[in-house]
Amino acid sequence: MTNPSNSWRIKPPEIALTEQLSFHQGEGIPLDVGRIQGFYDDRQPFIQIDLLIPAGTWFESQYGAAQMMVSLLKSGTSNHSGEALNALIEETGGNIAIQRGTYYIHVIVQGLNHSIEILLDLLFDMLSESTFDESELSKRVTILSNKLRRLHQQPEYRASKEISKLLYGESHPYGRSLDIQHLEEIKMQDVREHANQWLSWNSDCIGTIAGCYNHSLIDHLSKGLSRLTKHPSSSIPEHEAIAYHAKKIVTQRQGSAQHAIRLAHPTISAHHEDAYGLRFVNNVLGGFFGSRLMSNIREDKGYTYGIQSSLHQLKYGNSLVIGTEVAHQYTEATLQEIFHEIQRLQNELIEEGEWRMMQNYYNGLILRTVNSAFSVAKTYRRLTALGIPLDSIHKDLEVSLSLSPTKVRELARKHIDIDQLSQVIIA
Amino acid sequence: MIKFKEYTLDNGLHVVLHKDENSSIAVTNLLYDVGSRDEDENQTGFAHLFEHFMFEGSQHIPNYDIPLQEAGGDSNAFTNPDCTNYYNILPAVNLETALWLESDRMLGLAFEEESLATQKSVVMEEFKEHYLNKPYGDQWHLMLDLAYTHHPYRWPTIGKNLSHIEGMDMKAIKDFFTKHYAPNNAYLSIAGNFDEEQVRQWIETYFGSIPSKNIPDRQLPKEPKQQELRRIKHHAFVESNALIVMWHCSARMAKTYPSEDILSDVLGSGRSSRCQKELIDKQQLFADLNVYVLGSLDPGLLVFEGRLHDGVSHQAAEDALWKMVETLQTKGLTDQEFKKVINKTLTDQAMDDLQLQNIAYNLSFFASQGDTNGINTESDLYNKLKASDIQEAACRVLSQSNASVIHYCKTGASSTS
Repeated sequence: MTNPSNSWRIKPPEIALTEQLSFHQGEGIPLDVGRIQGFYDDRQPFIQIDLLIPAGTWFESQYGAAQMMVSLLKSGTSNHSGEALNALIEETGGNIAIQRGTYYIHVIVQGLNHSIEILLDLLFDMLSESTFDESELSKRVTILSNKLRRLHQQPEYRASKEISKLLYGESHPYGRSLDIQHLEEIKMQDVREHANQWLSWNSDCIGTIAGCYNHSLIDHLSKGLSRLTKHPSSSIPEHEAIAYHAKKIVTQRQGSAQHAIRLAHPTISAHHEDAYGLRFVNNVLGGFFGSRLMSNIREDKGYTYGIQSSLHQLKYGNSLVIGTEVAHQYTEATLQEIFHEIQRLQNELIEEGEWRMMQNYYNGLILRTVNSAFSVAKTYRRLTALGIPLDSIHKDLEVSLSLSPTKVRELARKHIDIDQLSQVIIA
Repeated sequence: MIKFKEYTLDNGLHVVLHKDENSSIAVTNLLYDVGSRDEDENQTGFAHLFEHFMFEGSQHIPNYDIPLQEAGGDSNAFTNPDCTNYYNILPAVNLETALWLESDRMLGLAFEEESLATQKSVVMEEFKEHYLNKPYGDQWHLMLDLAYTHHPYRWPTIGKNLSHIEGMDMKAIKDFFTKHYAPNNAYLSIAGNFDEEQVRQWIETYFGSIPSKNIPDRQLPKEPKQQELRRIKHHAFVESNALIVMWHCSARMAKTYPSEDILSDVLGSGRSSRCQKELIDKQQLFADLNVYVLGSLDPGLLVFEGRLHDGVSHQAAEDALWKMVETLQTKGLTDQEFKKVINKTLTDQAMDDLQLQNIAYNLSFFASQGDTNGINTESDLYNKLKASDIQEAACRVLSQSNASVIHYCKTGASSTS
């Protein structure tokens, strides 16, 4: 029995909601070509520059060309051998990372203030003077092939791959994934052509700089990037996704301890008028630890270590995806509970206590996405890549505060359809 | 430079405050000085399961997460061999909620059988997902069991096996709480935007009345010095053969630790590191590799792990590694190589301080080691190093008699070793 003198331990402290956001909006900095968004913060001796260049798999004429280009950029230039290049980068203590995405490649330059110009010079060298030596290609193919073989052993990798294929078709950049066969077919000429055509700084690129930058650094960046400007000889490729039909794929494997489950269907784009509300609905369904899927399937039933739903809102395709890993004996029950939670969201109004929790949590989440110059820069890139302005964060907050349980139920009915969910269950 | 203030409550709770007026969020980090090294060898995985149980309701609050989420916050925790660490991130205006919640579960738990059954099931699924159903998932079980013969580091934090988790009961949970969860065995740090006077008052209100406990001295068996090379061969359903070599090395707070940390970077950090250049690029023996130190509070391990290209024998790969080690021991480092890894370490430390969450954890960690200002002075230890210190560390640590080797073979693979 609780001691009445401890009532202050029972009663939660007063809490406050964020009703207005005040965050670092950044400054648009014009460059000789294009612009970059700056997020100044002089409290750290550290600078991060991010460049999104449209040169991902979307632009490939040969599967794997973008991936291989990214892998080879640190393998040598006309000025430095691969070994020297990597040594020079690492000597600064900083880092240059280049990641291949579907639409963009993402270049990340991180370093202490005093080393950032050196890193930029090395980056410009990599982007404009890479030699793409034949001998490096076979090494990278071997390394990537081994990596792919290992990934293929993981049920969650295969499940994600299959669900993307069902959503977009295997010839669409969002639906296809790199296979060993593609790697074996690739020639250095394909990589060079991809780089020549698409590895360029132009007004379609997105850039951010966060930290303690100054005019001299911006000038250096501007001059370096302008040397990378090329006029593309062909227009942006178009890709059409398949006509979507829900399907079910189940595979079994002897000795496997769990199934990877993925359920998905296409959904609205980030520009749709319901997009703000649907993000909230997704959050309620499976977007965080206190979501309904987690509460029911992990916390009440103990079927899984984790389950989540997410909205994959991309430049040219959008989907709602639910994913989890469960022991075989829980697979069917887990599927039924997922459907049950979707139906509950569509048929019942969220009760007051849960509503308060969901709304307040979402409120705090928005606040956290814009808490520092570096986090705002990240949010800026994510939104700009979708063609959405940074100040839409204010609208996100505004909409989340104006939603009601009835509206959430309506959005769940309108935008989630159990019959349209493809199911992939991989052992 | 991370500024902080620290003090200790009468009940022994050590508090560290770091104010950041530019932030709109706050982080609380509560580190308990108990980890999987404190477990009974017949009840492994206990500290980690207990961490899960800490979210299952406390003496006066039936659910931990809901009030925190209502305050716009998130929480999580991790357990390692040395400690169990809990953190909350939330809007700074709602910081009091996190202190209210953390203090109540320090005071006492709900101890409900149903919650224990659920969390046992969740942890068993975690075990299956990460340690049974993943390629090389059993690697840590093999490694620790081979490298340690006496010290409780010989089992991984998740536990030796599923049956240990399945067998845990409420009595053991209660005993564990009584033994280890007390203000005088914990380090609370708060980072973010707050009114210092107000926060001190909340901390006193919520934590000040929790009684301290008699925490038993930690008496762990010492790992005897390894006298000869250990080696096993293991077969599993994986796509590539792998080579794992481990050497015993210093504890995280030992004077010799920074040189051994840098040694691991010289060997394996970045594409210009020795192993990457020699074993991946030049000799093309490995598809990928990592070299790292565990950084544990008792003497730990320096680990090399790499996956072999098809057709490369374990022995050829191992011979090449030993040859490289010998070169490092006899010829030492170039100045450029040394400068590079030191710069990298210092940059990484600066990057670490960009996140409030990292600052809060590091303050708790260094406080638990008796020197909170270590968060600011640790980089001096690295700055003072000389290239010859790294060569000495290589001679001291990377000997055959100090090594444990695993030839991890893909099923059906014929190793030539």
